[in-house]
Order: sequence, then C-alpha cells, then structure tokens
Amino acid sequence: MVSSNYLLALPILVALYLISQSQITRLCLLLLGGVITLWSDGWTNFLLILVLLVVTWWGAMLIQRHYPGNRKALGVLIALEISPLLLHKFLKAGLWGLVDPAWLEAQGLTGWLPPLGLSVMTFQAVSYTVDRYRRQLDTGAWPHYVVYMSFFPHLAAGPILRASDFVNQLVKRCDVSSDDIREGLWRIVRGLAKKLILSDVIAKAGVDPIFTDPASFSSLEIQIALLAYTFQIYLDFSGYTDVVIGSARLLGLRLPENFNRPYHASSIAEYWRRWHMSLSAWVTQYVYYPLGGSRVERWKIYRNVMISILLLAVWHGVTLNFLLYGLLHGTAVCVNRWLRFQSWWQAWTVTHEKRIQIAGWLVTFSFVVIARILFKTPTLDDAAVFAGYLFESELSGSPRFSIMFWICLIVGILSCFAPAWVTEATRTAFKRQHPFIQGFIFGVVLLTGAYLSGGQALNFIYRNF
Amino acid sequence: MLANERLTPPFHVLIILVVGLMTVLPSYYIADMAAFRPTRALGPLVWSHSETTPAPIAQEPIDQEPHAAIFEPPSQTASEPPRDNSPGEVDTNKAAAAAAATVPTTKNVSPSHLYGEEHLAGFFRSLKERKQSPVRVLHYGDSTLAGDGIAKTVRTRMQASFGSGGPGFFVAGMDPRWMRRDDVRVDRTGDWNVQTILFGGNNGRYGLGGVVAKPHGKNQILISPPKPKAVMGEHLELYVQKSRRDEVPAFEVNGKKIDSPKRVEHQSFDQWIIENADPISRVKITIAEPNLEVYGAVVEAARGITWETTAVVGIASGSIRQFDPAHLAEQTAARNPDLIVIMLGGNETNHGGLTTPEGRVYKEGFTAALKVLRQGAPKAACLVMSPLDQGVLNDDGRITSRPLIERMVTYQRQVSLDNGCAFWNTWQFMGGRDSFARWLSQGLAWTDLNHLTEKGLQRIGNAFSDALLQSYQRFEAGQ
Repeated sequence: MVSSNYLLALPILVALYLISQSQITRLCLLLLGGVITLWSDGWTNFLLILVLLVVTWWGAMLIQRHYPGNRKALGVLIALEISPLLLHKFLKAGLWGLVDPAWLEAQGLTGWLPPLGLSVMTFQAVSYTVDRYRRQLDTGAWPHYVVYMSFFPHLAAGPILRASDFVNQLVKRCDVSSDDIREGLWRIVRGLAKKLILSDVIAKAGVDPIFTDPASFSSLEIQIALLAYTFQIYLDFSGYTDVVIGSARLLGLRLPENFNRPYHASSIAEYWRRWHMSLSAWVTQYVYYPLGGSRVERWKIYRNVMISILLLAVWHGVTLNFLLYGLLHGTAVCVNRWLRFQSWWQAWTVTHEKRIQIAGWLVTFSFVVIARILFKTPTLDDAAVFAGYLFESELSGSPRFSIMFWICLIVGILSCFAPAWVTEATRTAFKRQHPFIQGFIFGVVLLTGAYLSGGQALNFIYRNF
Repeated sequence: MLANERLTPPFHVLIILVVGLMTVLPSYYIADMAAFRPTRALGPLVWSHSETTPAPIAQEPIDQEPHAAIFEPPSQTASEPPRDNSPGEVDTNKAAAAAAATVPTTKNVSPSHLYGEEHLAGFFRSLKERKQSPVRVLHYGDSTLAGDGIAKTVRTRMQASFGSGGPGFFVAGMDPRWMRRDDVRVDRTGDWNVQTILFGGNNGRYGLGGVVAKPHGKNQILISPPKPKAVMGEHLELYVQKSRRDEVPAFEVNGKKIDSPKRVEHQSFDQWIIENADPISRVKITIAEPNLEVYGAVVEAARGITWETTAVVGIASGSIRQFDPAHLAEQTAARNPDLIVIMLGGNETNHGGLTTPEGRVYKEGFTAALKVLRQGAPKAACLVMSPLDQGVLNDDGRITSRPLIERMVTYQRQVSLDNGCAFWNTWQFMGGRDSFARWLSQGLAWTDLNHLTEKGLQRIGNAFSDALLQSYQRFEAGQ
C-alpha cells in the first residue's frame, strides 16, 4: 500500500480533491482512487472484487425490498459474500492436506497474497448487508456505497469501516480544514517512520534471521527476537494504520482508530479491546452479540467468547498454528471472564487494585509475547523447535545484534510505552511547524527509511491476511 | 493561530509535496546517495501490473562458439508462486512481469553450460577409484554461496550418488552474518573475536575458509549435526594456530574425553587429528589460550564425498588478496582437496578492470585469485562457476542485467580455461542477458536484484549437479 506510486499520487489526488468544489467530483476522485488501486492488483482480482461489490449491493437491496426479515436469505447472501475469502484462506492452507500440495504448487495456488481489499471488503460487505437487513442503514446512493467499499487507502488491511459512520461523512459536505491537513500529514509521517525505520530494521536485523534459523542463535538472542517481534508487528500494523488514517484525514474523512496502546493492557480481554479494534468491534457486533453476547447463561458466554476469538484468530489463516493461537487467547479471555464473576476476585480487585493491575499487565504482556511464536511460525513443528531453542540453545555469549537494531528496538519500545503527554507534545510540535519544515521532515523520513531498510521495504504483515 | 493556519489546504499540500520532493531529489542525482533513494525501499514509480505481458526480452548468445548457445526453450514452464511476503511493489513492475519468458528448470540442463570438462578428469578419477578417504571438494564463494543454498543442494545430490563423506572442513567462526552450513552446527561459548577476509585485520591468517575465530578467554566450540544424534563421520581434525603456551586443546567426542590427540605440525599452524572408532555425533573443543587463532575443524567419514562451503558474504576476487598465500597454501595442502570450486564475481559488477581493453586488468586479478586459491593443491581439479545474473532497475521501470555482467562472465570463462579450470556458466543457465527479471517474477529471486531465493538457489544447485553428474557419466563411458 505504501509505495512510491501511492506517496506521489496521494498529494495530487488530495490537491484535486481540495480544489474541486462539487461533491460529485470529489466522489469521482475517490472512486477513481479505488479503481486504480484495485486494478493495480491485477484485472482478475479486480473482477472478483467487482463481483463482490455487485452481489452485496443487489443482494442487500433484494432482501430489504422483497425478503425483509428472512434469515435464510440473509444467510445465503452472507455465505456468498464470505466464500471468496474462505476459499482463499483454505487454498492458502493447502486445503488442509486434502489435495496434494505438489499439485497445488504446480497450479500456482499456494503462497498467494489475498486479492487486494478482499479481507476488508468481505467484512464490510457482511456489515453492510446485516445493517441493511436490520434497517439500521439508509439505502443510500450507490456511489456512496462503492466509495465506502473501495475507499483506496484502507484496502490493504483496514481499518474496517461501518457503513453508517463512513457514508454519513460522504453525504455531508466535509470541508477540509487546515488542521485536517496537519493532522493527516503527522499521521502519515509517524506511520512511515514506524514502518520503514523501526519495524523494518527490527525485522531485517534481528527477527527474521532468527525465526528462520533459531538453531544458529543463543537463547538470549532468540528471547530478544521474540520480544522484538512483538513490537515489530505492532509498529508495522499501527504504522500502516497511521498512514491510512492520515491519508483519509487529508481528504477530510475520519476513520476509526485501530489501536489504543495494546501493550498497556492489564488483561487479555482488555488487550483485544485495544488491538485491531475495528476487527474486534466487527466480531463483537456481528458474531458475539448475535450469539447472545453476555446476556445468556454463563457457559454460553464462554462459548460465545471462544467462538469470537477463534474466528479472529483463524481469519489470519486456516492453520493449526492460528487455531491454537485462538484457543490460547480464547481460554485466557474466558479465564479473565470467570475471575470477574467471582465475588472474592471482585473484593480483591478493590483492596489490591494497584498490585493486581501490575501483575495483570505482567501476565498479559508475557502471554501475548509467548503466544506470538504461534503467530510468526508457519507450522506447529516450527513453533515447537523455536520454543525449544528459546530456553535450551547450546549457544551463549552476548547478543550479536547490530547497533541499529538496538536503537530501533529501544525507540520502538519507548514509543509503545511513552506517556500520552509525550505523544501529544510530539504531535503538537510537528503540527506547529511551517509546511516547509513539515515537508522537509517528510522527505527525511523517506530518505532515512530507504537507507535503513537496506533495500526493498517489507510488505505490511497484515497485508498477508 | 499557528503560522501554517494562514495557508489554504491545497497550498499547504502543494508545499509539502514540493519540499518533500526537493528533499529526496538529491539522492537521485548524487551517486553516493543512491542508498537513500525512496524508490529503493518503496518500489519504482510505475503503472503496470503482473498481468501485463510485454514482449519477451531478446536472448543473445554471449559469443559465437557453438557450445555457448543459450539453452533451448524449456519443455515445461516453471511456475513457482512468489513467496508470501514478497514485496508487491517490485513484483508489479514491467520487467518482473515479463513472465512470458521462462525460467529454466533442471530438466533443461544442457551439457553445453559446462566448458572444459576435461579439466575435471582427476576429480572424476578420484570419485571412481578412491577407497581410502573421502573425495574432498572445497567450494569458495561470496554471498550467493554463503547461505549454503547452492552447495547444500549439490552436496545432497553428490552424496546421494557417491556416499556421504560428512561435512568435511568448516570454519570455527561460523556465523549467519557471513556464512552458514546446513549440514553441521557450530556453536561457540563465551566471547570470540571473529575476523574474515572481507575486512582483513589478521595479517593474512584466515585459515582455509577465510574466517578466523579468537577466544577472549577459555571458551568452547561445540560441533553437532543439525539433527540430534545423527552421525557426522569418524574422523575429527582441528586447524589452529600454534600455541604460544604449548597447550593442547581439550577434545570431547560424544561426551568422552580424548586423551592423546595426534598433532601434525605445520609451519604456520597445528593440525590436531582424532581418529575415532565410534561414529561422531557431538564434539566439544575447549580452547584455553586467549586469542589463539582457530581456523576450522574437519569431521568426515572414511569414504564418500564432502562438499565444503568456504564462503564469506561480501567478498570479491580482490578479497582473496587478504590471504597470506603461504598460510593458505599450507592449509589447503593439509586438507588435500580433489576439486576446488570457485564462484566469485557477485560483488564486482562495477569492477573497473572490466572496462579496460579486453578486460586485461580484471583478468589479471581473477587469474591471481585462482592461483592463490589453488596453489596449495596443484593436482586438484578446478572448476569456476560464473556469477548469477544481477538486475538493475531502469528509469522506465524495466529490470535489465547489470551492464558489465556479460563481460565478466566471458572474461571469467577465458581465464578459467586458460588456467586449466572447467567453467560452468551459471549466468547462461539462468537465461543470460536480462534473465534476473524473469527469475524475480517467478519468486526465484529477491527484490534486492542481486540474490536468489532458496528455491532459486536450489534450482541452480540442481542444474549444476546435473551438469557435473552428466559429465562424470561421459567420463565413465569414455574410459
């Protein structure tokens, strides 16, 4: 998503958008951005996305007009909408061994990146369909719908938008203020710095070599790499999200935040409320609540939690690793829920609030870090090998990481745990600068990122999902 | 009111675009700032996608010799998918999208890629007749080889045909930063100072593998197979500097202490030998003397073949000058290889000598490198593998070959044949001119435009093995 083309085309599109006075022209520009972005991924993928768009629009309209309240029709439409994504996920997982992997490889059906926008659009399609079925959404005009679905900055990995929030902004005439421009630029610069400078250096100079070949590294190096990966994935994904939110802000549109300091969480349930928030909110809205949410018998609450978290995990890939990752996280959330139901725990939390918060943070953070092994390694065997070396490598000695790795890791950690006032002060300081300085900082971040990344920047991790 | 609030939003965006562009622009005009170019990290400015199929890139032979004809169009198109995390931006550029052209598979290996196979007769004779010790191959190279992708494939293929001789020689200072081996694990305890021929600094003494490791205190080297309890061989050696304190390294094989290792004194180093009756699966060597230079170790079987990778990331043929020739020759003679394979050139595509008349300066340098590497084993056969094709991104978004690669391959072949070495044309096998883009488009090459992915390296390794084995069969048939 953040390519040279994107960074050059975005300001041109923004300038045209700002100059144009008509709402129709602006919608056309946004549509054009979506079409170009999707077309750049190949015409076959473009067609697939087009079919998804048309099926969702007509299907939702058909149900609203001719089959109101018909759950079967809703089910069929949702099945149609999610089938391309499901098919892709199962193909990527080699159809769980049902088909000879060599045959799949010969057909070029493994190792795919998902078609650009497929994941995000599928979630939004379901959201749009259900909201219209529930009559929580005005029919709206189709250009608004198409822009909502194909809004170009967020196609790679979200954040997932609710139609009601986004379309309202399109319908209203949104004047882009000077503050929108400064805020948007700040988010883009911050996102690029997180991604190109911090995340990629951490990945290339430490995480990737060690996860590829843990046998050649000491336990201490492997432990540091695991910790580094935890921060790398956050910097990568939140960096991407910053660029997306910043790009939208330049167009006067506000997208939902996707992160709220996830590593500050003092319980796993809280972690999921702070990590990939738009997906968590989607699952809560369209899976957890329809299953009954927490207004059911206690065992059903655990069931609902487990199903929701498993779905969140398996969306990343239909593999045993992600299944186990989901089971672990689901169990942890259930344990958290169970504790909250206990009166002795409630009493404890009142009397030992501070201590429980600190202990909770320690346990939660350690759990998140350890569980990342399953997230990063491709198979359970790889995860077991990596976990084995985590504490039992025959190598010892001081870690052999480069100075740049250390600098980027420390800065990355500090940026994750910095108090809110530091972040706010940095933001304000940037926004106060003259555009000349802001443009210069933007250029310097690009130059530094290009230099430190030592070649091609890595793909955004969440682009793979 | 902030100063920039007075600006209208379009003007604000315009200023940022212009200033941002002006900030990054020098990196495109100052050669020394090339590493800072944003398009290097973010992909080229192009408008195309992978479905576009421009006309296939023209293939031309590098010379007029019948043997040098570019391989025939393959009977089967290789279609390997790109890696999951292969960056999309470069994948979509025009040249990479030239997937209409094909990448060779090992089924297309033509013997014509191997020149001067008569120079391999001694090696083939050893393969056919040797009964008392393994046939040994030393394989020198740069980063293309350092990941062990090519050598691992060749080793596996050759050992499947002639029996495993174990890992053979490997450097004590092994580290993924400059080289790795997939057939042996070398771990070190404590702090070590490791130096390689890339940067020098140890007065020419880098042992057989171009890497020297010096312990800061009493430290250990742990040698083990990649799979626990696997057997590596029955014969163990250590190549180490002569002890200033007359100390004997302590050896432990399979957990058992070795009381009296045999010492073979050479002028510039000691060779410690342990003939172990039992199969060796674990070795611990304790070096007590600080700063003692440890060059490497040998674990091998009584028969079979070894394929010993001795590569260092970043080196060029000029780096061979870092070796003290006498020191290297002594170690090479002690190792007594049957074949020396050399694959250099990946880091010298801008070598000034390539543009001298007839490449005279480059040829002299390459000849000198061959001589230094071979002088310890004058009877060993010699084989040069040409460097890979390397890409360069043009302003129009096309990836073409680096301009001097073709010339380098030609000069290397001439030097090899003139000096009694066989020559395998890796570059030609890849498809010759502009082939890198096609390998890239099929997920066989990295977007740094220099290196191949594991699959790409395996393909090269398999093709080279096929060429070598076919040549051996011709040798056998001719006898």
